[in-house]
Amino acid sequence: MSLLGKKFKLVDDFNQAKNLAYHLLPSRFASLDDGRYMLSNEVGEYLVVDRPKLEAFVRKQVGADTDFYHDLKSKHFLFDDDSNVAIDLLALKYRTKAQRIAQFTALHLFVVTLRCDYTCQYCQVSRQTDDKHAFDMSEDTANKALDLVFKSPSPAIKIEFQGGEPLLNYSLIQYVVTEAKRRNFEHQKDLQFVITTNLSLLNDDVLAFCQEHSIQLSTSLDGQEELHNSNRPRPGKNGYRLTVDGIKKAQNFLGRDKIGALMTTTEKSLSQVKSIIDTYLESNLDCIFLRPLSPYGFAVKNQQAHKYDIERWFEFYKEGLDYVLEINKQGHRFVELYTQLIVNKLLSPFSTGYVDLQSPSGAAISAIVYNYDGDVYASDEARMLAEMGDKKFRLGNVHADSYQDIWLSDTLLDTLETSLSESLPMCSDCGFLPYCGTDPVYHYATQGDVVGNKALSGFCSKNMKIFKHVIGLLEDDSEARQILLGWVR
Amino acid sequence: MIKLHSKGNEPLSTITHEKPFIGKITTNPDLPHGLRSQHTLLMSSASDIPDNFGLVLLAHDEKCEAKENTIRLTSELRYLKEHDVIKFYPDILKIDALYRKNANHNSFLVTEQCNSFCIMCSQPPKDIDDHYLVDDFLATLPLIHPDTDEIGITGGEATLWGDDFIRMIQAAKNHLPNTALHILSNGRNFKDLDLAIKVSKVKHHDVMIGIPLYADYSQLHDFIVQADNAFDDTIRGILNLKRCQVPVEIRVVIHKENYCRLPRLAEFIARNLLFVDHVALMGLEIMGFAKSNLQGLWIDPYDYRDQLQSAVETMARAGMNVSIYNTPLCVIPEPIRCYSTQSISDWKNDYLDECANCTAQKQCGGFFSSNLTKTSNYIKAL
Amino acid sequence: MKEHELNFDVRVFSIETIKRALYRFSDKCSFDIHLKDSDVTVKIHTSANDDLLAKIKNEVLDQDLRDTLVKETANVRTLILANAFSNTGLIQ
Repeated sequence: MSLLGKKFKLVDDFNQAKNLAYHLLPSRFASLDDGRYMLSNEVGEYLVVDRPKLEAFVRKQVGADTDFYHDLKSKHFLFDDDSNVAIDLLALKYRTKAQRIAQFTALHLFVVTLRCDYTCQYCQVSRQTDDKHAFDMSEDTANKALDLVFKSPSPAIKIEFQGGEPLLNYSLIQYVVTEAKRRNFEHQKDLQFVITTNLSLLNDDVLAFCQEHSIQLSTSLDGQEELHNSNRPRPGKNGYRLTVDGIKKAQNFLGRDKIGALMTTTEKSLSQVKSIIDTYLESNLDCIFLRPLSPYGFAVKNQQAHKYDIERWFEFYKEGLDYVLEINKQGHRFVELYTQLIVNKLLSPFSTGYVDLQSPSGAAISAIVYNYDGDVYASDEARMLAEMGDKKFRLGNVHADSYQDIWLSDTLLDTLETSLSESLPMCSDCGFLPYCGTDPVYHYATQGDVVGNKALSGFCSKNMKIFKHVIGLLEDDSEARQILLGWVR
Repeated sequence: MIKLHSKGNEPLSTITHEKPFIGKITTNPDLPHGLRSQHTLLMSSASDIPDNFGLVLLAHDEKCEAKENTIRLTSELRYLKEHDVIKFYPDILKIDALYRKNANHNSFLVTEQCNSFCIMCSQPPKDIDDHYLVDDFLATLPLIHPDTDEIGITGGEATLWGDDFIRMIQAAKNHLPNTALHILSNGRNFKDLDLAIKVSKVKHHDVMIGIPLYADYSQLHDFIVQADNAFDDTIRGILNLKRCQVPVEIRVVIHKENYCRLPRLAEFIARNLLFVDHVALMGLEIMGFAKSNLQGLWIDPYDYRDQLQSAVETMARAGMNVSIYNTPLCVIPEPIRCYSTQSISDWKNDYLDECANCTAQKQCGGFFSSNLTKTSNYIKAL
Repeated sequence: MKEHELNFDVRVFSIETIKRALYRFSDKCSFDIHLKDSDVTVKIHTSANDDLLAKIKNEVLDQDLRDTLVKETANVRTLILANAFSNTGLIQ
């Protein structure tokens, strides 16, 4: 019985879908937990459904007048004859997500030296401390690298200085920063600089320079003193003390938003996540990145062991995230960066810039590495692989190869094409595909080819666990959901 | 509430106008003679009536000697001031206040015809030829004070005028180069890309098209506007306008038929129409069809506060500009009160007695005058 | 290491469906697959528990749904991608 005037027709009168039938739009699903699935569309919108609902959806048996039907239609899982804008909108959304590919290479890593004053147990980089110049990047190499940097179509460029310990070649950093800024007058990119450093060489000159050029600092803080020093021994000194003091100094001089810390997880870390987080709180840091187990022992002989390690790391991550959420519930904003990244991937119409979780792979598209000797690598992992003897992902050299040679090299293009998630077994129909990535270097190193068998893959196992956990939180824990939504950028 | 039209005007002399006269009000009796015929002199006290003004309005009750075109202004309209623009109908002695310089918003109705039939329409469509409204708008534009911040074009559906619609935008740009232009449209005719291109070619310095979207799926939206394919047409219209870089605002009137889907509509907008320039979530104005269909439409805004909060937060989080219109602060959840604005045109804006005790009255938008008899059960001074 | 056996009717589940489902368990088991008439026999070699058989059977069901999804949406997917990459930019 309509409550509206006689002139007005009812809602059913406006349904042009013949026989109330509908058609499916491209979608994938993945099992979430016992009895539930997550259903995702081509552009990463998702719904959590139980199996009967999932089956009804695929078998085209969902009732036209149900909320579930309306949700499926509105989120572009199905379309019917009453409307034909779905395809235009999906196409627009797909382009938005794919935009980052056209604006490729935002992150350029300059390995300015292999020399280092630390002896971290998980470092793959050969540390040379005698012949100063053999393992330092030269101005000539830097210039050639900068030529390539400014060929990038990306409107935003981030130059990150790595090593060894980059500050051991501080004069080159100064050179690159001033030269890049000079060249940028012409290109007008949004240019940013980061130095990853252990902070032991952070003196007033360096701080002043960083302040002048708005350079950000990124350091390693693995946990409380005993853990940190055991992971990252600094011959003759207390590395932990140096790091914590350096952080404080940088915060005071440059501002809290100009210095961040990353941690590397080792065997020892696995039982200490709360104390690691506490260390970060004590140092007034407002975020932590609970990174997976160090790739030390990267080329693992026994694939099973690697996957088992993922199980243990995941417990570490869950415990850490729980603690972080607890901290937030008590009114203090503290972000776990990997979770923030995943939440952004789940909810954002844009793609994120995180190199290691992209398809097509972030190799060269999101980031590229210029080694001290001018060799160009598709990613940091590719460089580490080369340090261990396998130069498969070396794309060329700044002194010998042109921009086209490097970015259009067969090595790169074949890798990108072969490892595209949409073409891979298990990935192509996985519900998490829109949020996940492909890691050709990792799979090459662990399984011998850039695709790998995902059932054996630690990369896949880790990501699936995290997706399920985060989606579960968003779905079932309203307090956690509020906090996580607050982390969306 | 103030009245914008009145017939209660008394002629005090012969009226030489045969057709309606649109004139700008002045209170200066010494206006140069060359300007007088286009102007309406407003006199608030008795004194000699000067010659040659297009119209003389006496806003007082004293006896006066009047020669021609002198009218005693009804008390209802005595709020009129210098710079306001009026339309005088000599046959029925009616005066319309077309433009008021001190109004918080000046809107111009350019037609009552419409190609939709929204169930809550506050300006029900009429199938008549009212092109004179376009002429009046074009005649009024040169008389509007150049310092005016913004004017609006409403209807009915203004785009039904085709090229005249474009002409109106061009005229607004020509005569008022410092005034923003806000146009209300159902957006459906913009599914024709050419129309969108024509709008953008005018290169109006500050135009925005306000387009309603009532649901996140076609069947419900089409029902609310009572037209098949309206959802598709509207979405296509929005996309075309944005392809031509014309600013677009999405307006959502909230009532019983669509409040449940409001959070999903917000998600739909945040994912599919992220590039629109503004989203307004609006309380119901109980006029026209909204009044006759009230039983099917009314829901206490307090009862949809959760959906409103969810919708605002979804879109704000996505970086969109969001506002809440036409809803009193006391029924809006505290965390989203900052999105509320004083959106109701002053002439139809009122408050309840309860509001006199409210600490937030100055920030609150209050009520539509037409809504005073049907308000939320939860109105309470803050 | 134990050996189990599962049987499927190829008229109900295609060989592709079955293979794709089994692939997801290649970390825990190895398989021998035989087809005779319409009967597919899968010999499973694993050191995992019985629970696994139920999981494999459910995965076959899931994979069957996936196949339906892919087949029914292949055309419209091409249409969406073609639309996405056609040259419809901003109009100046």
